[in-house]
Amino acid sequence: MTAHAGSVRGQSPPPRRWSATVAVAGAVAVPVVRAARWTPVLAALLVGYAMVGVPAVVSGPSDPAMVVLLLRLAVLCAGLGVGFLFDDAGRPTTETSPTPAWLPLALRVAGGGILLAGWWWGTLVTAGEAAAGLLPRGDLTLEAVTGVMVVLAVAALIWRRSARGGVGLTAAPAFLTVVFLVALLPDRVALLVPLDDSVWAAAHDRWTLTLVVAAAVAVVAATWSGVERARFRI
Amino acid sequence: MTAVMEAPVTVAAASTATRRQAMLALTRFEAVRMLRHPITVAAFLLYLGPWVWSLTGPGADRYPVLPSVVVSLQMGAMLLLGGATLVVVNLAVLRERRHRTDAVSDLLVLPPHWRTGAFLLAILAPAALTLLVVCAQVVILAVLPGRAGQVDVFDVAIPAAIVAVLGAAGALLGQLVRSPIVAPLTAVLFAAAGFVAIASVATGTTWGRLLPVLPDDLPIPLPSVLLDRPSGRHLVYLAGVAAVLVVLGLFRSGTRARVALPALAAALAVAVAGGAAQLVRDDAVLAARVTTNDNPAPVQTCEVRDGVTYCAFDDFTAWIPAWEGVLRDVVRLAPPGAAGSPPLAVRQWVWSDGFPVFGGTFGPEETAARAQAQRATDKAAGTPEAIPVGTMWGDDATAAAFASGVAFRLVMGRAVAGDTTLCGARGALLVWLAGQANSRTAAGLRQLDSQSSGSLALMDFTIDNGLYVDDRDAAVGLAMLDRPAAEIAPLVTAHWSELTSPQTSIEQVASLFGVPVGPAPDPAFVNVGCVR
Repeated sequence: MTAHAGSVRGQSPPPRRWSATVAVAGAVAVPVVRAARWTPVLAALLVGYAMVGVPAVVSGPSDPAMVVLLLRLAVLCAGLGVGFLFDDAGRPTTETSPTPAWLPLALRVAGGGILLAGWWWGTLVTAGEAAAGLLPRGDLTLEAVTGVMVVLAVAALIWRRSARGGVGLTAAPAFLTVVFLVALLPDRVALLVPLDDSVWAAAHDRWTLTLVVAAAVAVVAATWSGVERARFRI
Repeated sequence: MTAVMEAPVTVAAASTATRRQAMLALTRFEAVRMLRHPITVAAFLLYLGPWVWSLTGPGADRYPVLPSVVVSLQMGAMLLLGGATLVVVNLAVLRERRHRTDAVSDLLVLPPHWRTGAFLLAILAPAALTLLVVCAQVVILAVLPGRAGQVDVFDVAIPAAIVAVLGAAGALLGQLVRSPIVAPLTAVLFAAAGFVAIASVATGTTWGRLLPVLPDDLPIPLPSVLLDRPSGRHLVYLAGVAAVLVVLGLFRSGTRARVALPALAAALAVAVAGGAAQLVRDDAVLAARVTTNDNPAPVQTCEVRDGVTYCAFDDFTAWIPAWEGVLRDVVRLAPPGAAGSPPLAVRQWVWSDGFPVFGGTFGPEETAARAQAQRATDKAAGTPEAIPVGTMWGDDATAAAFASGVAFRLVMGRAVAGDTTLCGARGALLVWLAGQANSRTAAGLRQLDSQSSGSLALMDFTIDNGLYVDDRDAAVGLAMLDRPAAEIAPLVTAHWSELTSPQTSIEQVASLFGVPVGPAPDPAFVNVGCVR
């Protein structure tokens, strides 16, 4: 209320107060997480886990290279679901609220992130038991995080343009297309390298780079509000 | 009274015609939307882009084996075109629900099952486009002068059937589960099943044939007489599966059980009959694989070119000029008459029986028996000591493996048979001959060198032969390749008899050509498998 009065008097608006943002976040966290579309996410995580879990039960210990392939397919499934976290049927009604648009989004993504972390832990444990040999858990986790971050970046770009909040619908096929393109990369810059390949380490440097770029794109796409236009002031 | 009785009949007749018209109009509309959907466009681009690159890019394969290529086209069609159609049809079926207009559609002239019929008919558009694209691909490959093998018409039709099956699955899924996540997840499941089917080939199981694709049962190209591909029966199976999905979709959206259940029974019968029929192995072909593995001569055509006999499987004779090119390039480097007697010959082999899958073990006895069978076949067929060549061609590594087979024949006076390790001066000379022949063999040699450890493996994995050169000796040969050919070639010709003698040590070779040689290995680790 005081801030509003300040602009009325023609003074510069006060700096954004982070404590206020935190307070808003605390207030909206539960409703936002409750309102998110969890069914597609859970379905994707279930199918993703089955990618690793079913072969583990059916065929017993298998070649680590094969397990790595299955883990990648599991991450692909999870990625298809992650975009649906951005779906917000109430978007047309919340657009005018003073809360920055990225705040509820960040809360939903954080909730999804906790779920995904638990899922990945479980999937990796199952995969570790199924593999007849050691799996490079750190590198595989890097791949999984990067995959999810790429979906977040793609979904955030779509989310910017979606007036009515349907993001996952477009993000899922878009992510599939990205994965196909990545699979086509020539050997020099390949990302999806087989397990005991000599270029594994070099490929994972590229994974790290991809993670950084995707994270930057996701953050900028979600928070940047374009070139500041002249605000209408009373 | 009669007027009242008749009136509904005429209205009903008119309304059926109107409904059909309306359904066809909706079909046209949906078909166009499916074809120009961004996902369809992206899928066709992703499908065709790499294929065009593989034909036109550097190192393009100009020697395709048609049945093998058709299988890879089927796999690509299932992953990309089929997956895209699945998602696109699913999105189309769910569109009304997504935009909350399904209640409005109920007021239209078309009842729900007619609308579903329109969606299902519209799937024919992407299927027809797939058929067109695959036909064009196969025709382009079939007119390449270096193509081998024969193409089965049913195999060409399978990708279109795959697209139809997955499209019908997308429509049914849209009616069963009203969530857009299901279609992409199903597409990924099909991809995973396809990978598993391809990875499990040659284990003797045929369950992979129950997938939309018809995988090959050996991971190497085979001549058509040894192929066991029930493509016609697989196509019947796919038609049955598509019919089952279509009937289920129509039933779900309100077709009367009186019509749907008999149709479902008929479709199921076709699917089960086709599916069961394709699982039956062709015993005659399996027996032919065993005999051809040991003696391919009866199903081969021989051709004499420039004094050299080339024997190839009947549908692989188009490769003979290419083999001749490499053979000539190697022979040119040796002094005249180096081949000695018997006259040079080349015979194509295929590892059609006992192909190692996932860690097969082979002892020296099997290798020796194998070498004996090869010599016996060549002798009986009148081409003793024929240089073996496999059923792959067109890439650098295969050219290098064949060139080293030719070099072995020139250096040793006999053909490679079984597992052979070459050491000393002869090993270095063989590597130089194989790498100096032409630019492709040179590139292939470097590629094989980067892939091997311990010994340089000059292998063509489609045949049951292994030619190895001890690493220390191979390094001298590779160093000779780095020197100008004009300096090395005259020295090779002049010292041919010395270089091909088992007594000449690698140090003598190194000092003759002025190239460095690695330190002598510890006697405990010296390569004991060297051929005499």
